[in-house]
Amino acid sequence: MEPMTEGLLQNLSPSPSPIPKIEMRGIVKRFPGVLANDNVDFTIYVGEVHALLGENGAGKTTLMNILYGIYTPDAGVIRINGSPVRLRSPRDAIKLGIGMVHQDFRLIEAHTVTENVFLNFDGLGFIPKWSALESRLEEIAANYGWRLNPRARVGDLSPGEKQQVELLKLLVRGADILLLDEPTSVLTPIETKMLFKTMRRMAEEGKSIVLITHKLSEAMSVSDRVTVMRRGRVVLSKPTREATVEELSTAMVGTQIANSLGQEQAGTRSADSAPVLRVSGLSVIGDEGVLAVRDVDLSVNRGEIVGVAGVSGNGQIELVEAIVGLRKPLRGRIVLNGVDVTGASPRKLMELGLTYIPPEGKKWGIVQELSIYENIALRIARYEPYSRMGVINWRRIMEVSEKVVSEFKVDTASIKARASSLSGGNVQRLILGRELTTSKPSLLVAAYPTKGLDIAATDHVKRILMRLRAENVGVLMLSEDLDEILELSDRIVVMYAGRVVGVVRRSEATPELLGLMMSRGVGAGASP
Amino acid sequence: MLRRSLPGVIKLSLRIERRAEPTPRFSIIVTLGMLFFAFLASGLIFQLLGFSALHIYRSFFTTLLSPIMLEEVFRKSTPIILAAIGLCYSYRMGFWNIGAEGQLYMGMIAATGVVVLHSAGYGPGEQLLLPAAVAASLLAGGAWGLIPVILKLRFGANEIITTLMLNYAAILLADFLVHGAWKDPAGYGFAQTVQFPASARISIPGLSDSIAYLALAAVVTALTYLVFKYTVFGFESKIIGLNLYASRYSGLGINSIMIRGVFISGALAGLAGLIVVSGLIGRLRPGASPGYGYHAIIASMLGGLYPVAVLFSSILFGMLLTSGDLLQASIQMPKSGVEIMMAMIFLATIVAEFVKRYRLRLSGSARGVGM
Ligand SMILES: Nc1ncnc2c1ncn2[C@@H]1O[C@H](COP(=O)(O)OP(=O)(O)OP(=O)(O)O)[C@@H](O)[C@H]1O
Ligand SMILES: [Mg+2]
Repeated sequence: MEPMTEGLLQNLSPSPSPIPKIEMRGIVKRFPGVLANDNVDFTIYVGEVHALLGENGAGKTTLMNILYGIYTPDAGVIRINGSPVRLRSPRDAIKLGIGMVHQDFRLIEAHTVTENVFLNFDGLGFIPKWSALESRLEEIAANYGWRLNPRARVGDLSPGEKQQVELLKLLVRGADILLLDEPTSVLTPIETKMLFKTMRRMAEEGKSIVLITHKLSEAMSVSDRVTVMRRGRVVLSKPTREATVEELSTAMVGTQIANSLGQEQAGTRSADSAPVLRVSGLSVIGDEGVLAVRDVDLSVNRGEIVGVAGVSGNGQIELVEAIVGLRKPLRGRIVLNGVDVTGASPRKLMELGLTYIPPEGKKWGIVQELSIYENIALRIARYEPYSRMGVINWRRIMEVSEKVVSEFKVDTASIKARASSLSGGNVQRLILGRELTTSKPSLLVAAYPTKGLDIAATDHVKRILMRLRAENVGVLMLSEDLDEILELSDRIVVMYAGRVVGVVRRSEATPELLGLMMSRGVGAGASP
Repeated sequence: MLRRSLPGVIKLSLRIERRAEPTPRFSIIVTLGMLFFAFLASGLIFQLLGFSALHIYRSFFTTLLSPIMLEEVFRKSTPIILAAIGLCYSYRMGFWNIGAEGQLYMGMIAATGVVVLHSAGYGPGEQLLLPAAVAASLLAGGAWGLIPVILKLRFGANEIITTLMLNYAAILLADFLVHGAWKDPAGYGFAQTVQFPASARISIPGLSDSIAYLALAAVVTALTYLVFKYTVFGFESKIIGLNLYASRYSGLGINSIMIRGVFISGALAGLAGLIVVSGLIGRLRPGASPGYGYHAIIASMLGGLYPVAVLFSSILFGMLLTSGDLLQASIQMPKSGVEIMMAMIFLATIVAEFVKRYRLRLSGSARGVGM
C-alpha cells in the first residue's frame, strides 16, 4: 500500500512535479551475440508524450517489447505506479493498462474495423452484440475527432486509419500507457499531424504515450520528454523543452553528423532525355476490384529521379506494382529500355535491368525464418556465379552477404542469424543492400526506401540514389515524405484518385503546391 | 485458456505462450518424447481392449531382432520411405498433397501395364523390361500428381480435396483393370494380373531383395538431402513454402517450381508402387497397397520433412506394419490394431509441433496495482 500513499502525497504536493507512471530500472536484455538493452533506466510519467530516439538497432523496440511482456528481461525491475510487476506476456501488460502498436500493422485486412478491434477480446460473450460494439467505437473515434467507419473493411483503409484501428484496439482494452513503435513511418504529413493531435489529447486525459521515431522534428514538436538510446544504453533523457536538435542527434550517433548531402543538388542535371521507362495509358485494378490506377502516362529518363507524391491510397502502390510485374495491368503499355514489358513477370523485368525496393519489407522483401545469407540467396541463387548448373555455391553467397552486411551496416551478430532477429531498420538495410549490391539496374523503383531508417542510414540511401543518378540510372521513387521528394527528385509526379494530376519540375515545386495537388487533385505544371 | 481460482488465495491460470525458435535438438527431444507418449497411450488402449500391452510392445521390438523379421520390416518400409520422401518435396512448398496413395497406385498400374504388354508379345524386350517399368511408374505417378497442381495453379482448386479424390480414382482404376482386361487367364479366376517375370523384378546381385529395396530408398533419400541442401530448385521450393510474397517479389518461377516439385513427389510415390508390384508381391491385385501412401504422410510429418529423419520414421512404420502381421497371427489382434498406433503417432506429431512452438505454464496471475 505504501507506494500508493507516496503517489497520493506527490499528487497533493503544491508543485506539479511529474508523477512516475512506469519506472524501468536496470533493464538488461541479451540476444545471442548482442546486448540489446544494457542496464537501461526509463521512466514514463503520467500525462506525457515521451519520445524515444536512437539509431537502427539501438534497442528501442526491445525495450518496449519488454514493457509489453513480449520479452522477459535478463535483469532489472519494472514498477507501475510504484509497485513492482512481472510481465510475462502481453496479456499481463494489457491487464495493467499497457498497450503497444507495433512497427508493422497487425490487422486482418479482410475483416471490419470492429471485428479487428474486438478480436481476442475478453468478455464479448458467446454471440457478440456487434451494434453495441460499433457504437462504442464510434464514440471513441468521435472523442478524438477521427472519421472512422467501424463497419469498413480494414483492407480498404489508409495507413493513417489503420493506425487508428490499432489505437482503438488498445483503447477499448482500457490502456492508459500507449507504446507506439515508429507510427509515423507510413503516414503522410497530414496523417501524422492528425496522429499527433490525438496523442496530445490522450496526454491531456492523463494517458502516457511513448513515441518511437527517427524524425527529430517530430520528437521536438509533439513530446514532453525525450530519451535517446545508443547501442543498448540510455545516453540522454530530459524534458524536450530543454533539449536541442543538435544535442539529440549528437547523442544518437555519438559524434557530430554533417548535415548536408553536398554534391550535386537535385534538378541540376540536364538528363539526356533517353527514357528508360515509359508508361502510357496504364490502368490497373486494385485489390478491391475497382480501378486503382486510371490512364496514367509517365516516363523516367536515364540519370533522373522521378518522385511520385500523393496521399497514400491514391494508386501509387498499384502503379508501382504494375510496373514491376507484380500486378497485371488492365490496359496500357509499359516500355522498359525500348522493350514492351507490359504484363512481364518480375523475373523477366529483373533480368532486363529493373530493381525494386518493396514497400513492406518484412512481408515482401525477406523470409523471416531464414538466415540473412539465405535471404540474400533468395535473389541471386539462380544466377551464375552463385550457382552452376543448378547447384548453389554457398561460399560465394556468404561472401556477398558479408559484403552487403558490412557496406550497408546491417547490425547483426552474424550472417547466419535469422532475419527475424533484425531490428526494423536493419531489415530495410538488408533489402536495400541486397538489391543494390547484387544488381546493376538501369531502372530502380523504390517504394518508401528510407522507411524505418535512422538519420545516418537515410542519408546513406539518399547518397546511393544520387550516385545511381550520376551513373545514369533512372529512379522512380515513392515517398510519403515531401521533404525527401523535394530534396531528391528532378521531376515530381503527383497522383490523386488513381490519376496523374500533374508533373512538376523540381525548380517549380514547393511543398504548398504539391500539398494542394495531392489533396485536391488540382493539376499544374509540365506535361508528363 | 483454463482457469481456476483457489478460494481466497491466488488465481492460478494455465497459459499458452509462444517460445523462441526451437533448436534442432529441442525439436528432436520433443518429437521423441511425444512418440513415447503415443506408445504409452496406445498400450493403454490395447490393455483396455483386452490385449496385453507388454506383449504388443515386445512384438514391436522383436521385429528388429530376427533377421527374417528385419527383412520384412525393410520390405514394408521401402514403399513408405519412397512415398514419404516424395511428399517432402510437396510439403516444403506448402502443397498439401495427400495423394501419395493414388500416385503409388498409378505407378503400380503403369509398371504392370508394361509387363502385361510384354507378356502379350508387345512392348519392350527382356532386357528393357525393368527399365521400361521403372520409367512408366515414375511418369505415371508424376503425371497423376500434375493434375492437382495444374488445377491449383490454373483455377485455385484446393489440392487437399483434389489429391484425395484422385486416390479413389486410381484405386478404382486398378480394381477395374484387375477384374477385367488385365486379369490373369491362368489365375483360377482370382482377380490378379500375371506374375512379373524374373526380368521385371528388382534385384541386386549378391544382396537379398529387401536390402536391395532399402538401398534404393536410401539412395533416393541421400539424393533428396543433397537436392534440398545444395540446389537452386531445393532452395527455391523452400522459399515458396515459407513466403509466397517474397517468392513473387524475388522473381522465382513459382509455377515451374511447383510443377517440378509435385511431379517429383508423385514420381517417387509411383516408384514406391513399382517396388510393391515388382518387388513385394510380384503382380497387381486389389488392395496391393495397405495404405503405404497414407502412412507416408504421417512419416514425412514425423520426420519434420528432413529426409534422413523421414527415412527413420518410415522404418518405424515398417516395424508397426510387420508387428501388426505378427500380432494378427499370434494373438488374433485385428489389423486395425496397428492403425490405432499410427493414429496415436499422428496425433503425437501434431502435439509435438505445438509443443515446439508454445509453452504451457501454470502460474499465478500478474499482480495488479497496489495488491
Ligand atoms: N529476437 C531477437 N533475436 C536476436 N536479436 C535480436 C532480436 N530482437 C532484436 N535483436 C537485436 O537487438 C538489437 C536491438 O534491436 P531493436 O529491435 O530493439 O532495435 P531498434 O532500436 O528498435 O531499431 P530500429 O530503429 O531499426 O527499429 C539489434 O541488434 C537486433 O538485431
Ligand atoms: Mg525497432
